[in-house]
Amino acid sequence: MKLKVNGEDRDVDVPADVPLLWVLREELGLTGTKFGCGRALCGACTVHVDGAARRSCVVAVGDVAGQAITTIEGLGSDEKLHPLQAAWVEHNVPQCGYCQPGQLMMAAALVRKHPQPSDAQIDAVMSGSICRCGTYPRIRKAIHAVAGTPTGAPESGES
Amino acid sequence: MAIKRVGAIALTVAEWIGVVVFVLVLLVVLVVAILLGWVGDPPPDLGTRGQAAAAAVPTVDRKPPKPSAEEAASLFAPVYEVLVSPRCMNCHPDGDRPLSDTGVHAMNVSRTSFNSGLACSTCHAEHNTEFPGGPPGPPGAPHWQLPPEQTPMVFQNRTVTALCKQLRDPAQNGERTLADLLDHVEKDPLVLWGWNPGGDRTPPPISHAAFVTHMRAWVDAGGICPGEKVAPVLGPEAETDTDTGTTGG
Amino acid sequence: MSEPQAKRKGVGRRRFLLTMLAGTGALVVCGAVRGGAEQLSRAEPSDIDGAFKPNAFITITPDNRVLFALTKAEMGQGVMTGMAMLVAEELEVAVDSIEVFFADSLPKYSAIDTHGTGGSASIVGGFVSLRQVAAAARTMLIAAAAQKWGVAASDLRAEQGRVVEAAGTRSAAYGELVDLARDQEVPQEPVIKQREDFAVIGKPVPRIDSRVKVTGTAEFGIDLRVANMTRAVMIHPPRPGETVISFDAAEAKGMAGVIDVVQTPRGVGVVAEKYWQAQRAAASVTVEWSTTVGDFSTEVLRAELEASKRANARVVRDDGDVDTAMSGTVIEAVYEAPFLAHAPMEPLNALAHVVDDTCEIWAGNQGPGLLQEAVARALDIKRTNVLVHTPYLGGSFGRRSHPDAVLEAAWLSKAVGRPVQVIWSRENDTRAGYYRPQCHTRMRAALVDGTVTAMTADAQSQSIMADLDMGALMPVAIPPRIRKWVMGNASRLIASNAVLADVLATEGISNHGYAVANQRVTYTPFATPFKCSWWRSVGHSFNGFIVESFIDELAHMAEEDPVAFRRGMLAERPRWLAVLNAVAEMSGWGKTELAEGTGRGVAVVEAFGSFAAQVVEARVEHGEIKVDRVFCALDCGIAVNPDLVAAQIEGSVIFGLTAALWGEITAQQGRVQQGNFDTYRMMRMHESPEIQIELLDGPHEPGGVGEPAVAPVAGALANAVYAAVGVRLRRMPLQRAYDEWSARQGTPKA
Repeated sequence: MKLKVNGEDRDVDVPADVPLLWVLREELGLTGTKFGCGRALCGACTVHVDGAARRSCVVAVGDVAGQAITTIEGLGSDEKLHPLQAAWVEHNVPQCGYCQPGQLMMAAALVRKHPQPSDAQIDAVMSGSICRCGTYPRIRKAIHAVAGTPTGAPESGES
Repeated sequence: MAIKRVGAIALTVAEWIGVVVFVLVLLVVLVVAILLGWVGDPPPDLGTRGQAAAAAVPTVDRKPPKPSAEEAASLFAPVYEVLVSPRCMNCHPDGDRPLSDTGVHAMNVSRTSFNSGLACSTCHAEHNTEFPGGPPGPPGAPHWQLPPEQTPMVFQNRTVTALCKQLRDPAQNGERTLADLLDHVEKDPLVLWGWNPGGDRTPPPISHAAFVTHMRAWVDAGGICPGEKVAPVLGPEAETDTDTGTTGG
Repeated sequence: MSEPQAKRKGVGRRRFLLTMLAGTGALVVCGAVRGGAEQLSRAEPSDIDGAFKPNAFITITPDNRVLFALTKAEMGQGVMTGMAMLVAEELEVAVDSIEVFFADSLPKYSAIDTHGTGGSASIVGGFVSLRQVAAAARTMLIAAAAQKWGVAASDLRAEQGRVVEAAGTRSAAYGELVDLARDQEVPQEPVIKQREDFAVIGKPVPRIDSRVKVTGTAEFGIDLRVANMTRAVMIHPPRPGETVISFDAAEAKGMAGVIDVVQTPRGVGVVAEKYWQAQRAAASVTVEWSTTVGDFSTEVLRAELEASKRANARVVRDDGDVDTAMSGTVIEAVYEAPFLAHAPMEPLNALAHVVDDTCEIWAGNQGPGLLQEAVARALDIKRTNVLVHTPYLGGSFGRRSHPDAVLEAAWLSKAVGRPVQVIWSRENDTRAGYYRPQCHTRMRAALVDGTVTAMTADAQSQSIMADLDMGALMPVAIPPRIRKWVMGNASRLIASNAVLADVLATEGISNHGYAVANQRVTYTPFATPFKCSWWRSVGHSFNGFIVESFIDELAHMAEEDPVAFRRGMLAERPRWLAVLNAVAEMSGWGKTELAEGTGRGVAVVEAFGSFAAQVVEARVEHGEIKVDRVFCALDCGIAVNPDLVAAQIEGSVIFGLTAALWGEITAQQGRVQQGNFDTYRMMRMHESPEIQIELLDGPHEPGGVGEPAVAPVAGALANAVYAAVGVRLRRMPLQRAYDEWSARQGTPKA
């Protein structure tokens, strides 16, 4: 099966009904996308498919073959952080950090739609993502902090 | 270097003293306890008899308004019973938030979410999510969504009459004719999913075939609603119903 | 930067040793003993040729790298940054220039503490000892430069990774001094800075683990990879305590990627090349379970505790003459709290590789020694043949101090002869036990002219300590059978509530700050098929709720303002008073009016050496309890990193509110009724209140930070609900208590 992940063409040999999450983690070694619940209840596994946020734990890999998949590894890099990632660092957002890749992918989907999101819009989008450490106040602050900075550039691999 | 070595030895000696003290204290405590016969069996497990159910309180009143005798006898009544079942009403809520079978949808999702980067399709696929061996995932069907904000097609908190009039009104139903509506309920995969919802989800009260039959009878009668002797003329030229029959909520 | 001040009074190597010998220090020593067999080990990042290693923790290389071996679990609390700050402070290097790595479970790392993480004690314990470790390195580098230049050490100082001559212009980078430094005498009493000289401590230094956590490159246990590894899914008993009688895996064994299906003492493990293969195969395995504890019910437990005569009660505290003083207006109230799961976002997992009589483990944990002991016993191998690598922890809150997932991985690896990574599903994680204890506590008090003259607490809760096996805390020199026997009996002693007692069960209730002349506290433990565990703030997690709710009830009964009433009872407790006054001030208590239907509740506690007071603003909307704002004043002594302390308070408030509002693990017919986040509800962004924080800057040494602010939340919330709607909720979770109250009133919601 042909996948397009973070701008690269990747070949995987798995049945079509394997969750995308485990293909990313175990077949492609992209472990930034996290397993939290397996039922789309926590948001830790959020990736973008053709620019839209998806919970990869409930996406069958066969349903997204050929579509542009972006994971946290493709959002920004250590050399060039995505503005949200930079804001996360600036505001000391992460605690244990496990949910943060999913939070960031979700926030990235939000700021593409609304570069200056309101609190209501943040609540409407980010409430799908659980943080057990309770970093919500800082996530909110960090999202507000990037308001207005260009964050809507196409992701690597999106056409 | 010599001092360093001496220091290390001293440290080791001190550590061993610690060990001995620790072990001695423990042993003394144990021996005393055993001698005094205090080390009995641990207390028996509690809570291992019978059971009691925890009280459950519904979080949202989803019960549709009670129909009048005239409404109950109307041609639209069996159609209405299907529309207010969870399979249909969950995505035709009174407001911007989809419902779940027991209340409102979790996670604070609303039309605001859908317009802000969290679409239904973030979690719901075009089919139910059921991976071999995996826990049950979210339900899904093609174009899983709420009706558009401009024509929200609210089923919740509507009387039989109000829902009947709303359904046939092109201004409220997205410019659909009665034939379009029949086609929608007959063929739309999202509607069909309702009768094959998977998991422990309850399907509507009557079969899909029976539902289509009732719907067709209502359409053939011109979309007549309770209290009407004859069906009104429908379409862009016709006067639209303004009474939505909202019961509050 | 000024020269480090003269040594702190009474601090030095001697204190080092004394600390180690005293109290929990005894445990430290045991772990540190270097007798017996060689410890299994692997190369570590600090194994660098030509480097200067004044001790196990600090490594300085010729090319000026500074490495620090972190012996604490980084589970979100920020200990990696906090400890790097302590090192940076004394070593005079930039915090972000220190390469921190996670220390393996080697004896050399037990020299300053247990290498375990918990009790909000890492910074508390390392504040002096870790700075001494770094100061020793600095002293030796300065001595090396003094030797090199032929000057007195007192004419030199360290700054920004260099030794600098005070008067002259000479300076040398640490890297240039490593060869000479190696030969310097190790200072017996390293001189550490006085508070007024701190340049790093007290500053809001950015977390050093943020970058890897926002780019997805931080490696948690679940992310680890080793050659030839396999993955496993565990089929756990549907009811706690059940064991496998037989199982049928014929179909599973024929499925793609499946290596084996193995019976273990904790259920059946399905081992495959990939997780998804193991998951598919597990669905086709059928297991016959023993049914020894089939009908356990938490509702029945509640009824039994209510009816209990507490025959086994132990008096924990008895001041004055309670029986005589308990007269006049006597108020009685029963408070309850349920079992709770920890629910870290990273489900429990462990990777183990058993080769002959050795076992290597990679798993997030709060105590490598505990894992070594458990695995050694389970596999009947030497503890020194077990090596534990600790990665980042995706949350823990106490849960990862238990070795269950690790044992499963070890058994399965031994069976299949390859490394096995066990990954629990969320349902596994929620249902596997080690819960915060369920409890039932009856409070009574006498009020005379608005003064509390007598107070009693009769606490019943499952004992955490009786459920623990502390064999890991005994020296490896003692044979394993004796370790097991001693500790097994220690647990029985604690369970018997006679010779040893579980002091955690009544923490916060036997030592609250309120002045009451006549007081008695009793504790009665009980057992259930569940195991119990530390859960962020431990006994305080329910006792904070109980004491603070009851004091509030007494205040209302005395017709006094809850803050004023507390002030009166805390007159002799300056640190309690200070946080109480601070939180009253910042929340506008008694000054600013709240909207109709919104109430304020207050609570104040001491926990883990710190003092926390909170005011919660809450209301009830359509039957749902909503929290608008939370104010918290914390006195944790010196806040090593105020911004990370604030982050811990924010997290504690949200963690505490989650439990207070919705958290409960219930069992019916032995089955846990919660499984995933749809049934075990977590607070989400839109429910998260505005949180305002004030840190009180006091002269005290650091107190705990990760847990104290959890303790007051539930009580303050219950008190706020009472203020808002006049309903006293005495049972957690409060939303259920409110629902049951509304159901009794017959008022429908919404």
